[in-house]
Amino acid sequence: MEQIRRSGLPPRDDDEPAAPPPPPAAQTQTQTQMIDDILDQIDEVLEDSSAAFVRGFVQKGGQ
Amino acid sequence: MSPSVGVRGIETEYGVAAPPLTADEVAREMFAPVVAWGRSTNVFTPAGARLYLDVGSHPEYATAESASLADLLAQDLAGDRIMWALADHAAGRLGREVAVFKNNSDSAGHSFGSHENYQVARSGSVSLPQALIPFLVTRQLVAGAGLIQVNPSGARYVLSARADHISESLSAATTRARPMINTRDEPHADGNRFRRLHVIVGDSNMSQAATAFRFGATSLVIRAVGEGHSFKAWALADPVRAIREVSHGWRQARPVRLADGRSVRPVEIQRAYLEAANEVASCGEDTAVIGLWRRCVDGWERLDFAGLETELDWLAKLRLIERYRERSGLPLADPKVIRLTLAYHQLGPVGLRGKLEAADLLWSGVDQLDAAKAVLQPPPTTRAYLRGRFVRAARAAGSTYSADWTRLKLGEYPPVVLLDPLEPGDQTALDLINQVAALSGDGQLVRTDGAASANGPAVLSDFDRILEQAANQPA
Repeated sequence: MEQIRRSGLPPRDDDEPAAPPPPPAAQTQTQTQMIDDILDQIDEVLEDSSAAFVRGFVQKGGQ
Repeated sequence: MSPSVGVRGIETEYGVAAPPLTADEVAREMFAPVVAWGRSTNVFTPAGARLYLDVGSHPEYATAESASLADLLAQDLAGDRIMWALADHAAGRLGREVAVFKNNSDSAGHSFGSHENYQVARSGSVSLPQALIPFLVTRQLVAGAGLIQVNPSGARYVLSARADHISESLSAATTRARPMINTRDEPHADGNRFRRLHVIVGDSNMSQAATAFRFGATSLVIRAVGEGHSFKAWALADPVRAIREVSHGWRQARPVRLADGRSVRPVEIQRAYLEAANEVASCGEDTAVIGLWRRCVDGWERLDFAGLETELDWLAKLRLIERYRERSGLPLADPKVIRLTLAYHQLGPVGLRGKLEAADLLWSGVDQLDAAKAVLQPPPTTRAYLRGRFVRAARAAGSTYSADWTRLKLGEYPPVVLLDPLEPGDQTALDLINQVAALSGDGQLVRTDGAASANGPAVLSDFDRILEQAANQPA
């Protein structure tokens, strides 16, 4: 999504030409690698008694 | 009134958990510093926002009235920061971790919400809710947060976390039979001129792009209705049934039935609203909203969502789930997978939003400096500016005061009533603020350019420190 700036104006095009985007396949691969990194980071949280945690999250209804 | 939408605000009900404590016990501990600060579980902050404990022991944050989407997003993130700082403080006192979720349901199936407020003109507002219903039913194609729904028959991924908890289109009820639009007439403004449209069907979004779309697109549709666009051709035969069909049947793009007997794909309804919105779009923030909306509608036409994973919550979450399952071989209903989806909505260091944004896997349009500022500073272009400055000045002076959406009262002074949400420069209110600022001893006047008074409360309370922490630490 385009930047929503405080001025409420969309960003103007930079004078510098943007670097060409990587080919889609390479981009997907990079993103998968980054997702893997994030999943690795929270692996401990997910391993650590997820069932009890999920069951323990009981609220009352709101609006 | 022009434009046809004035100020906007978000009310977020957060979920909390620190087993074996009950949600009620956790929420009360979180709010102990708030009560010590304001002698109530319902206070207005120096940013002009409302922080309170709502029905069902939900900590709730209602943002200050915002005129621009940029201000609104910053205020929304400020609410997350404050909620996380309160939880962090409570965790220290309880000696256990406190989890806070910006989501819409718990493990027992209770639902809570992310409510939208739009200031609209009183005139012409009668037909507005009905004109919005087909839009709201299908808005989840873009703004849905995604949810793993576990039933006795199995588990499935649905688009909207709220769809199955909605049982009416319009009504004045809230918790027993939840409508899409709550029609209770509480304008919190001059009721002869304004109404407050209260939409409660939306999912809580973590993606800032999804939040911007939700408020930006809805505002554009309201403007289109105000300019005479009729959406009668898209009236649904059964909106409550349709909202569930859209949520459950998204993989097949299951059609919904219109009142005139036609069956249409949900994306056709969104396309019709998009084109009408495009006609009334004017400023840069409209352009950004229309741009995302069009890319989503095009994606739904092709059932190809490539490139939208960094903007839509339901896609970002789905991508995480699918990758995690690929790696682990776990079924959709496995508690670890459910825990992963809770982490998507969790605030604090465990939460995934900050990690995803840092990796450019989730769009982040708001500068964290703006979010930090919004913890303590009101938007400068609405009456929240006056409320926030008043609260700050009255506290600095140690004066007895009260504040709500429309009223500022200092000690024995007559109350100042603020009936125009888009007016940040009411002279009576500014005079009152200057008087109370003078009481605090240094005689410093409150400036109209948004600069803060330099003096602070003589003794910092826990909640003052929590607000400082919230201003210094992303949630």
